[in-house]
This record gives sequence, structure tokens and C-alpha cells, in this order.
Amino acid sequence: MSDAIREVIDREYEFGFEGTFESEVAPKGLSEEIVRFISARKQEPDWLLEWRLAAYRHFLTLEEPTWPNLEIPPIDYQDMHYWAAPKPKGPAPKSLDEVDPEVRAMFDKLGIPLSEQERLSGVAVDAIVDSVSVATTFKARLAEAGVIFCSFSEAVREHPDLVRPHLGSVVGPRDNFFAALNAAVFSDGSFCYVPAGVTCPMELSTYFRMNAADTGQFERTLIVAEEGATVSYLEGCTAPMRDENQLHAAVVELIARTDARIKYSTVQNWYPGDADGNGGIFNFVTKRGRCEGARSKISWTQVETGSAITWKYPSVVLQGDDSVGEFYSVAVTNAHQQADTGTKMIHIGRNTSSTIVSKGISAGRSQNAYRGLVKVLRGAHGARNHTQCDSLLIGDRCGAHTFPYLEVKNPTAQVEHEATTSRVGEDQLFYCRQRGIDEEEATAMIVNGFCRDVFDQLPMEFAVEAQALMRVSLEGSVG
Amino acid sequence: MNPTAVAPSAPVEASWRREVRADAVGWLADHQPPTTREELWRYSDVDALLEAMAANPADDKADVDAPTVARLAGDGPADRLVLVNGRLIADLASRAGGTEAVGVLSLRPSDDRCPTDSYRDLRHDDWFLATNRAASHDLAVIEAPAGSALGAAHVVHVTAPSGHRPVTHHPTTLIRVEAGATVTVVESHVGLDGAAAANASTTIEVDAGATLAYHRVEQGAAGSAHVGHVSVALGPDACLHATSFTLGAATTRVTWDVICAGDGSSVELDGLVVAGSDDHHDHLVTVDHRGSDTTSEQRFREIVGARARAAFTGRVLVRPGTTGTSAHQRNASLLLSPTAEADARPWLEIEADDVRCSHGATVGQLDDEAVFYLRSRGIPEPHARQLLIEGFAGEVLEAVDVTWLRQHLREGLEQRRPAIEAAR
Amino acid sequence: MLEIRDLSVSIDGHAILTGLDLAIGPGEVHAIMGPNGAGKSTLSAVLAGREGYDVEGTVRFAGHDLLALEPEARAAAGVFLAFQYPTEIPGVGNAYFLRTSLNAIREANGEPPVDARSFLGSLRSHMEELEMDPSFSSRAVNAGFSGGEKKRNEILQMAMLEPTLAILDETDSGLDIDALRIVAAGIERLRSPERAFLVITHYPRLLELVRPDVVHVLRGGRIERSGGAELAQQLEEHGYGPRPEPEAVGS
Repeated sequence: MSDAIREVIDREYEFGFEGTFESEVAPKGLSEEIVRFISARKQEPDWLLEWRLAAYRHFLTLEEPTWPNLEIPPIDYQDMHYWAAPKPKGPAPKSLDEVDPEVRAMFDKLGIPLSEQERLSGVAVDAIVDSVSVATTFKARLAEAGVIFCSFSEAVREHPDLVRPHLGSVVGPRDNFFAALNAAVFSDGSFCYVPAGVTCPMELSTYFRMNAADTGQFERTLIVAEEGATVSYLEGCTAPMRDENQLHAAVVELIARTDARIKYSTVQNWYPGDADGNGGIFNFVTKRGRCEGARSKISWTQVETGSAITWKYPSVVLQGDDSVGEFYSVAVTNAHQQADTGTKMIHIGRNTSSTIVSKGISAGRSQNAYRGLVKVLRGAHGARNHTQCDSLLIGDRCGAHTFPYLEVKNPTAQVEHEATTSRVGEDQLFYCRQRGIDEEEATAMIVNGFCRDVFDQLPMEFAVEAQALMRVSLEGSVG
Repeated sequence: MNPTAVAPSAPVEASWRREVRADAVGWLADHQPPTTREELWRYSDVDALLEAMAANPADDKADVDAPTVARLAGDGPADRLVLVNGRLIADLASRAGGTEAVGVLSLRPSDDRCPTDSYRDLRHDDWFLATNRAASHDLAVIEAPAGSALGAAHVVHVTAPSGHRPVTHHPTTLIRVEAGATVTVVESHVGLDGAAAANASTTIEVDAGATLAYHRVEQGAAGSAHVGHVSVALGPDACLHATSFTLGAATTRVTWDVICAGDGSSVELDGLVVAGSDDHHDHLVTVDHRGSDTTSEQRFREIVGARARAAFTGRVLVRPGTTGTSAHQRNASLLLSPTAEADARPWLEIEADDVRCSHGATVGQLDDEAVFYLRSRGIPEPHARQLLIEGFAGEVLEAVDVTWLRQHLREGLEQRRPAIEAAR
Repeated sequence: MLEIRDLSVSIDGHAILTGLDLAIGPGEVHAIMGPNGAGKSTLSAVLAGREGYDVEGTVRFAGHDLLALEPEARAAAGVFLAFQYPTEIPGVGNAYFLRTSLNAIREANGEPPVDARSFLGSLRSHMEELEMDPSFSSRAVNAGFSGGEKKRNEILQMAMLEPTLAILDETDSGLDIDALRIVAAGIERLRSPERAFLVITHYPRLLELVRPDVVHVLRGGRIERSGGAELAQQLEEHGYGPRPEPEAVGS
């Protein structure tokens, strides 16, 4: 490989600006008082406060996980804010038009207009800044179809009967260190409920923005698709460039009943830190879906380009007979980024099947690991899994790791795992250059081709964005 | 167990052995045995191994004759060295392998030279290995002098419980193949009936341009426990063709640690694990590519029946600064019973970019189409299944180029059949 | 148009070409034949700019010092190499690739990008001429193609990119008789007074379909002899003959 490729230069993070509105923040530190403060600030019912406090007490007994292939600098959980929100300039906005113009301006700049007439006209957006949801579009049109799509806080107020039985039912408050932390201090997030037989008339999306300094973001998303319901959901994430690391510890729970389908796509572009590894988001996320009913299907697609450190394993518990789980992932690391990401497919029901396609791209001095578990329980007669896990290396100072776990207890299961690791082929580069395409363009083309199977899974509007994003992420790794 | 209680068998030990022993004893004083909470021990039945090893140290009352050795370990043209409970039994040694130039030795008490330096470089990350170092008796040593082209040597480690008393011992083999030499070594771990534990270690060094064919066979008695650790260091352009068979014992943990240290070194490793009854077998294979232009090919297969569990973890490491690495690993498990379990972890850890690495792992059962095809040709189903299982194992057996050993392994497989197919 | 002077090429100290001279004028078709290992493919790779060779000598092409140019700049200057073993690029569509290539070359020459409609029109008609299935354009570049399909794809790219110098590196190898005829017809269609061809081949059968103006024998690291189209036939009948200077290589 040419010397040019080894040169990793600064790259631009185009979402690194800071919104100009004022924020109000809770005092730094984590304590029972802060948990109570957050709950009070959100005017939560007692049962939810108790739920948080129980999670907090359990959290105090836990230690951070050490098994990932990550070097995580010590995190001072007392040195950050657990609550931040744009300062309201008056009473809460009753319609989209009343949203603080400064907040609107920030979203315009991010390319996510909070208006129902503009570019993303086929997509409903819940916009979340730091700890609160600032706007949700198309609520009325969704309500006509019976779909509830709103902020988590609103759902707790307006639909407690739908939230309470499901909250923590897939990712329990004691699940792991970060899930317990989230359960204690989660601020806002999105809630989506699709009633039986309804196909959600439009794409749903949540746009997460961390804006305030020294603040952690702990959102919680819950999606319930009733019998025969179908929904496609997408989340996007960005944050300003700051020299300090910021913690993002989210929880996502999906529940699919009989014949329901949930497609959950993520384009994760949190600030990755600078070229020397300063700053950036610690993205420690627990995402899990339960295919509860027969023939249900949950499909995770993720394009992970941001964050200084990523720790996430969107998983599917295949409980219903004939249920289907999918995981399609592109994870790009450059500069000093680290990622340990993958999935868990837990086969419980009969004739369940899962597909895993993971594409890891390592550049610069980054470390990129796939970690995945395929577990077939004793009763999972006829379970099927196919895993394809490929890694691409750009430069010789990065690492690509593959840590699959296959645990099979049923003799009728078929589990297959295939993995390859290679660099961008010199032959491929030369072939492209002989056809007049320069090295950087050729690399981007080859890498995009490498990820094609995953991009094909994204909703159309976002597939193009994902490709462009990846090109930006790899900028400077070539030439 | 208390390794320090084990008295060295020789009146005067070589100074390097005394040092190694003292080092290991010191290390063990500060460390605990592994638990399944440790990632690399996750699938091992550590408790069963430790319980078996807590038995009394084996004594030297060996009641083993040549026909028994031949029956347990196979018989063919090879220079044979037999150790029972870790002690060389000179009467059972034989010379028929055309390896006259191979120094086949047991413990050399006054020899101050360690045949394989890596035996002394204790990598103290393994409690069982340290215990072996602290407590082993005679060392079986195979040395192929520089440039020699030799036949086959056969080291047989026999575990022999006396009466009904469970025993534990620490069979140890050192193999040194000097520059440019070629040799074949078969190492058999067998046992007489009865509860017993063998905690084995093999240290192998293959120098520049040398080639070693090494076949490791574990055929311990039913109910016994076996821990095996094979450490291999390959010099420049050195070549290892190895096979690993686990056909016996109830609980095993076999670790292969292969370091492609020299540029241009290469390793081919084929393995077969047969787990029946209530067996619990765990294999960990690490191929560490530290030199440039190194290649590795691993093919491991497991047959898991009855209530058995077989786990395989294969790690391929490619170190920073190396170039031209080619590493491929394939693992296939045949799961034959609803009460059995197969676990696989094919891992790649790559820190250099000039690589071509791949791995594949499958867990499945006999192909219904193939069973049907054979039945349609008049072969009854049980027989059809048996043929397909034999075929699955046969592809590994083909990697054994020692005819008598291949035949012996075939018979060993045949004997395991009832244990595999039980409770289907 | 192409002038190679005293070209010496070695790889890891092993000499492959030793003082090769060759001149090709516009509109000419030159064939290079020679035994295995004579350096025919090395010559094509060096002309296209593949890295990893130690190169001495000069190559002038249409006013350029060809050896000083990056591979993509050579392509922009009009050099096209039909690869002996075309590379697979999984996930990248054929049509997308070709359009990217075409526009990169146009951009380098100060021309506007080609619009999608005329690109697709021209692609379709070339594919028809080469008897290629329409599904070709959406399949990934060479991925899963048979040997013959890959070679045909190379000719398609050549037709679309309209180079001034086309180097065909054993384009006939691996083709059956029908495919050879189609490929040869594709080459014949592109023959023009402005375009030169350098056809590297083992076999005279391609040269019966694509008549060369000059045939060269490459051996011992340089052009051993040259002649008209009839030389190819003589070689077919009599072989390359004994080596005149057995140890000349590396001198």
C-alpha cells in the first residue's frame, strides 16, 4: 500500500457546531437526589420514581464491564450533568411553529427541518436535545392511523398503561452496568406504539442531539408492534466537537407480537474525537428486541461511523415460533476510534432463523471488533443462523478483530459463520486507477461496495446519506 | 493438590530443572486455578478437571506390559519410548522406526542443557501448565540433529491407576527439531481403566528450515480427565504438520499454542474431537503470527453425541509490523443428540493490514439428503449415518500419513461409536 | 504516438525486460508474442503504471513522459489496459463503475460529465454488439463472472472509454471460439486512424481475426525480431526456435 494511505490527516466533522440557545442543567454528579430531581422535573408518577431508585441502588453494586476489546479511560460518574435541556422561553410549545427558533435553526443546520412540509416529508421526526424532546412532527397524521409516536415523557403522562407493562421487559433495569445507569437517570427518548393490524403509514425517526457540555445523554426508546403491525424506525445522532469525552448510555427495547415486523435502523454519527484521540462520545448502548409472537420479525440495521468508543450489541430474542431476527452492520473506525459491536441472536422458539451481516472497516490507529453470540437453546428445533462477518483494513496501524460465539444445544440447528479479513486490494485499486479513478475515490468506491449488503437494508432516504457519511468518516485515511 | 509434595524422581536434578520447578512453585503460591468466568475458560469444565487433579500423585508401581501398550497406543515401525505415570519404563522401549540418529531420552539428571529453551521460559498464564512444571517427573525428549531426515518416533504416556486409587500425574515431552531436519513424532496419551488425571505438557521447537510432522493422540480411559498443553515455536521457514485427536477421557482441556515466530514459517493443524456419553471436551487453539510471510491452516472437527459437550475456540493473532500473513481456520461440529451441546468461537485478532485471513464455523447435523441418498441405495439408516460420521472423521484422518497410526485411530473411532450414538 | 526506448524492468533484483525498444504509430496494430515468462505482461503492467517494479528507460506517449504519470493520469491521457485477469470489485455495480471511470477521465480532460441518458444509451448499444446480457450492467464489477464474461467486460469498457492506446493483455486466453469471434469483432470495430493497439497474445488465432500491422517476438527481455502479420503464422508452425543468446538476460 502506498505511503499516502498510511497518512491519516485531520478530518472534518461537519456536525461539530454548538447550538446557540441557552441550556439549563442539573448540578453535576450522580446521587439519589439527582434521580429524584430528574423524575420530579418530568413530573413522573411514583411507580416510575420507585423503578428508577431500585435501578440506581442496583447500579451501585455493579462494576463496568471489562471484557470488551476496548481501552476505556476512567469515567468519573460524578463529574457530569445528568440533566440538560434547552431553556424554555415561555410556556411549552403547543405546535411545531412555537418551537424555539434557535433550536429550529440548529436542526435546520443538521439537515433535519422540524417542519412537515420540507425535505423529509415522508418521515415523522421526534427531535431530542440533550435530556428532552423538543418536537415531534406528523403526530396528527400518525394518530389517524392509530399510531402513537411521541416522546417518552409524554408517553409516561398520556399512556401509562402502555408504558408500564413494557418498560424494562426486554432490557431489565438490572441487565448490565450501563442499562442500570440508564434506568436510574434516563431522561427522554421516543415511544412508539403500533396497534394490531396497522402498517405505520410513514417512516418514524428520532434525531438525537447532545448539545450541552459535560453532559451525559441517557435516552430510552420503546417500540411495541402489536399483532400484525409493521413499523420502520430510524435514529440519527450527532454532537458538538468538544475536548472532553461525553457519555451516551441509551437503552432501546423492541417488542414484536405475532406477525409483527419492526425494522430499526441507526445512523450513528456522534462526534468521534479529533485526529489525536481527544474528546468524542462514549457510546455504551443496550439494544434488544423480543420477537414475542409467532412469525414476528425484528431487523436491526446500523451504520456506525461516529463515537470515540462504541459498545453495543443490538440483539434479538427469538421467542415466537418461526420468528426472524436480522442484524446488518457497518462499523467504520478511523483515527483513534474504538468499536466493540455486534449482536446476540437467542433462538428459543421452533424454526426460528437469524441472519447476521457485519462489515467492519478499520483505518488510522483505530480498533474495530465484531463480537456476536448465536445461541440455540435446547427447544429451538430447526433453528437456522447464517453469519457473514468481513473486515477491511486501511493502513497497517489499525486492528480488526472478530469474536463470534456459537452455542448450540439442539441437534436440528444449522449454524454457519463465515469471516474474512483483508485490506483494500492493491489489485482493485490499480484496476480502478487504470480506469482513471483516483486513489481516494477508488477506495471510497471499493469500501462502499464492501458495505453494499448492509446499505441495501436501509430505507432509501438514508442509504444515500450513509454512503456519504462513510466517505466523510474515511476522509484522510487515503491520499 | 500440593505440587511441592512431589519428589523429583532423579537423585540429582539438572540445575535448570530445579530452577523451573522453583519458579513454578513460587508462581503457584500466588495464583488461583482458573474459573469459567475467565473468557478463555468459559466452556471448560474446570471444576471436574480440578477435582480429578486433586487425587494422589501417581506412584511408580506400573503394571503395564508391551501388548497393553500396543493395544492402547497402536503399534508400528517407530522408535518407541514408554512412560508410565510419568516414569520412563526402559523395558518397554523399542527401536524400529529408523530414527537411530534421534536422541530418544528420558530425564537426563545431570545434563545441564535444556533441549527446548521455551520449556524454561515459563509463560505463567496457565495454572495447569505451571503445575506441570512444578510436579513433572521424567521428561521424554526427542531431538532431531541439524540436517537429519528421520523416520518416526513414538512417545507413549500411560496413566496407570493402581487398584482403585485415583491418581494424577504430569506427562511431559520436549521435541527439538534442529535446522533443516525432518522427523515424525507420534505422542499418545492412554490410560488403564480407573479414575485418573493427566496434566500433560509438550514443548516443541522447530528450527530454521526444519519440518516436523507431529500427531497428538488423547485416548485416556473412560472417566478420566486430561489437560494437555502443546507449545510450539517455529523458526524461519520452519514447517509443522500437526494433528490433534481427542478420542478418550471424560473431561479434557487441550490447548495448542503455536507461534509462527520466524519469517516464512507455516503450520497445518488438523483436529478431531469425539465426545460421547457425558464427556466434556474443550479445545483452545492459538496461532500467533509474529513473523512475516507466515501461513496457517487449521481444520478442526467435533463429533458430539449423547449428553456430551464439545467446545472449540480458535484464535488467529496477527501482530503489528508483520506482512504477508495468510491464516485460515475451519471448524465444523456435528451435533448428533438432543442432549448434546457444541460451542465454537473462531476468533481473528488482526493488527496488520497485509493479511488474508478467514475463518468459518458450522454447527449442524448429518445431511438428510445424504442419509436419504444412501438409504435409496439400500443402506439401512443406522449404517448410513455411521458411514457419514466416518466420512466426517475420515477427512481428518487423511491428514495422518503414518499408516499404522491411521489404522489405530480408525479402530479407536469404531470403539467410540456406541458412546456417541447413545441417547440419540 | 508510443515510443519506448531502452526500457529495463526488474522486480526484486530479477531482470525481466532489458533494454526494450518499441514504437507504435497512430492507427497501427502491433502484436507481441513470445514464450511464457518473456515479460509480455510485465510490459503491459509497466505501461499502465502498476507499482512494485524497478523501471529504467523512457516511454513517450502523445507528448507525455508516461512513466512519470500516476495510473489514473495515464488513463486520462488515453491509455487503456485490458487486464489478463480482470479484478473483482464486490458490491460495486458495473454501470456505476464505468460511469465513474468515464467521468473521471472526462473531468481530467476538462470535459463535462456525460449525462445519464446518453451514457446508458451508449452502454446498451455496446453491450448488444458484444452480445452481453442486459443484467450485466447491474452486476458487481467482474464479481462471479466467468473468465469469458470478464474478458468481454474489458472490451466493453474499452469501447466506452475510447482510448487512444489500447493494450490487450492476453484477452484471447480463456475464450471459446464464439466468444473469441465476438471479442475480435469488438476490437475491429474500434480500429481507427487515431487509435493504436498493442495486442499481447500466445496464439495466432486472435491475430487471424484482428490482423496486426507488425508482429514482435519478445524474448530475453527485449524485442528479438519483428515482422508482418505472416510472422505469427511462422511462429505457429515452427515455434520460437532456439534462443540465440542463452544468457543475455540481465546484461
